[in-house]
Amino acid sequence: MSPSEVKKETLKTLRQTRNAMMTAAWMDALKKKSAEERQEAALKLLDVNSAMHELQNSVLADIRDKLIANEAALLNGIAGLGKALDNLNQVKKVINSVGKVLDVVAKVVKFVATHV
Amino acid sequence: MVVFIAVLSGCAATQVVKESDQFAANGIAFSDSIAPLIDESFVLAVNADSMVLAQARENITDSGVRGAQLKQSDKHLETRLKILRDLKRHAYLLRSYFVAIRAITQTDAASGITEATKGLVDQMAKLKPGIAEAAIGEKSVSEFIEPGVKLAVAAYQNKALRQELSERADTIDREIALQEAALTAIYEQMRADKELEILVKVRNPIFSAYTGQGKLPNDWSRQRVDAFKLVISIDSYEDAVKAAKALRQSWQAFAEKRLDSASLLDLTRLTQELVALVKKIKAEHN
Repeated sequence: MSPSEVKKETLKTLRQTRNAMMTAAWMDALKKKSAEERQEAALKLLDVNSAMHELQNSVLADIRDKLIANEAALLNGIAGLGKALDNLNQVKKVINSVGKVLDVVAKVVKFVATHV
Repeated sequence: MVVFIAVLSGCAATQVVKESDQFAANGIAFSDSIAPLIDESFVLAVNADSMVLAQARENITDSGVRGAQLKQSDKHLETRLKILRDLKRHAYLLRSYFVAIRAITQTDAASGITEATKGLVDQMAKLKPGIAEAAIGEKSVSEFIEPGVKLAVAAYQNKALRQELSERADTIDREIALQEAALTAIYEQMRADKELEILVKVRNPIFSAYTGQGKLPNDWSRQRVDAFKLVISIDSYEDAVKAAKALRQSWQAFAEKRLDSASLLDLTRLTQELVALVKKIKAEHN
């Protein structure tokens, strides 16, 4: 079993234990116990709850760290796609510029034809 | 023949651009759903934690011990909040990637270039009359411009997308896999916390009413039906995990040029279910 699978299985057990210690049947059973025993059970419930939080945070933090390690490559991808889009829009600008030049050339050709 | 081959490859490029667009649209919808789910997971975590603290409090008489337990829970939840904030930020980053793909697939460059090229032909016609009407086969140059430019732009879009895929297929695959892992961990936590909420608020009163000495409430059976329905409703939290799996499978197919319409339809269906879940969660909070 890999470390992540161990964490997953432990978390599952802790959650089941927490939920079992919150059932009405469990609480009814506790009522028959002494104050010390009830306090001990309450503290155990909080220990389970705390361990569960710690493990869940650890699982999520592992994933978060791996995502951060992937971040630079993802940002490069976004930048690369943006550049590809710029290139595509650049074609329109070039054609428009050529059109403007041709417009001037056409006027010059017309002028030369009528005046020379 | 050359024109025929060019048209065929142009049509294939148009199809790739269309599929990329649908894929990116699903990717955006998926990424948009992550933050509300993460927020809901935190609400459920705090609610469950509060129920545990309240239950334990009844049997802990020392106020110092009570205070220390509350502080410890707060510390765990603050740590969780920071991690979840990072996960949300990364989901926005993934969204930006899909938006960038869509910017290419949805660019209006084809119409802009068509207009600009038509203008160019007009200018050239002033220099050399008859050029706009010059025929290629049975069609004039002018008639060729629009479909020609559209195919050329699609080929460029296709090339840009393919280049991106060849450079970053593994990065995005890893990214989606990590999102799937995060959503699985969050789903399992949400499920357990929601089960606890249903237990404390619905199932325990049903149990106590039955095991107690008093008369059963008139709607006791109805309460049981509602409890079963609530338990079943928890399954919908798994939609996020299913959508992440489908997104990753589609991405792999997309990168390997084997994405088909059936896979896209499946991905769209799962993404829509996830979007519906997020809408339901938001409605419950309003």
